[in-house]
Amino acid sequence: MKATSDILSDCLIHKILSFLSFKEATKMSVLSKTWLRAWSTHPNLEFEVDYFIDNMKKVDSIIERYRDEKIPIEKFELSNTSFSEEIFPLFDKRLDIALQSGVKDIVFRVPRYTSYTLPIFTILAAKSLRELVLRGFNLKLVSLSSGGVANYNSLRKPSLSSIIVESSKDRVTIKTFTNQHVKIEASTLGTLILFCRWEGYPMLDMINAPNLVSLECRGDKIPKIFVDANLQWNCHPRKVILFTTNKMISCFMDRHSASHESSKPLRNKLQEVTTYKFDWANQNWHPVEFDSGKLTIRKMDKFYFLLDW
Amino acid sequence: MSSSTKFLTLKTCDDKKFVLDEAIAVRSQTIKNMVEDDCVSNVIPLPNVDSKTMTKVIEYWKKHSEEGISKDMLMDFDKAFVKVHHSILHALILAANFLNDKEMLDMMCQEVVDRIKGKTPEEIRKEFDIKNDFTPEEEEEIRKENAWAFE
Repeated sequence: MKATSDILSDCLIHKILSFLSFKEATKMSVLSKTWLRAWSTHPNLEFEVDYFIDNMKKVDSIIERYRDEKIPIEKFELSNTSFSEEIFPLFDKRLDIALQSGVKDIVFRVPRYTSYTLPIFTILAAKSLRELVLRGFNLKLVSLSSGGVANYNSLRKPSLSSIIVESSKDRVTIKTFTNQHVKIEASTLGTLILFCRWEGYPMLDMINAPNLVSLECRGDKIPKIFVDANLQWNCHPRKVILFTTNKMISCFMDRHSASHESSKPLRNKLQEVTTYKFDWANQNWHPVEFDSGKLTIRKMDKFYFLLDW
Repeated sequence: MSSSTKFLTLKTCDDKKFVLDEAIAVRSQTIKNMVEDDCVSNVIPLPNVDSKTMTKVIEYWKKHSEEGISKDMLMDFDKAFVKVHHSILHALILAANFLNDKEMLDMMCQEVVDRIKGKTPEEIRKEFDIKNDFTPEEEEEIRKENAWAFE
């Protein structure tokens, strides 16, 4: 009978290791040489580090080993509990190595109000990148334009103070914390998720997203203008998901229920709207009567509208 | 069974043939791709799977394709299904990987993980017949490097 280490490929051992906690997975490195090799070439790297020099050195030695041995990196996650100026160059270096190693998913979390300027163009130009999650970065100083970014759902000139961009060819999530001016032009974008929390709301200039399938808004500060405008832009999403205040939901329902009314020429292409409500107890959606007048909307209600154009 | 039911013949590495409803066989993404690309002639060879393993895989596929089966019944089936010797478990992982059945692969890996959790390295080696090919010095070195994990 063959032993595990003889029949399972590194790739499958990676999969098994991913199911384990970091501590359990580390322990597996002592089993045999096969497991040690699999452990030290795991394609997902997640670091949660502070700025103590010892920890910084550890992260560096790991990522340098990946570079030197040409080990592919699929996911690179770096969360800093603290982010001081001395480590900015280190950060750049790590990012470079990750990008060179063909990284697919990048997650960077830093405290807000850091003065570090993320080399966003370098990141967006990376061909291998599938998903990017950024938190706390200041992109104010960076002017984004589609010109320099090939094949990307460019966020044009956002002056975001704190964002999460979760993106791939078909998905962008914007999380905003303060008053921001966002202009989105994304011809390949399929899903747009908008978070609006705390005071302030994003002022969306326009969305030029002809391929948008799903538009989702969460938070209690979604501006009226957003609901009004969302179907006037160059996008005809099939799905609109709202998880917001009851006032906003009824506002959306009222404005979009009577699509046949001639007083709403901009929405004249909209044929029918089907409404679904989220059932928290059973964790599924079920259809409800559309007329908002008959519907009691409570605080935690989440609605989903299927639009037929 | 309706007259439109299509059957596929799968041939394992030990030359055993399995005739299977296409609708069930396409739980394998690998087979599905072959069917969609129209590169299925008479027999689909599965060079990486033996008949003993394939019998188990088909048992799983059939149960999970049964009409009107309850979630509880499936859960009981899955629970019993994974309670096999580790050599069969590994053969099933390799088969699920080759056939590209993510659901089955995840379930099998989860079972391996469940058997790993809470055990010492020695116990894990015993459980899975893993040969320790480190010298005592090498092993000590790895343990020292990752001392925090062995606390």
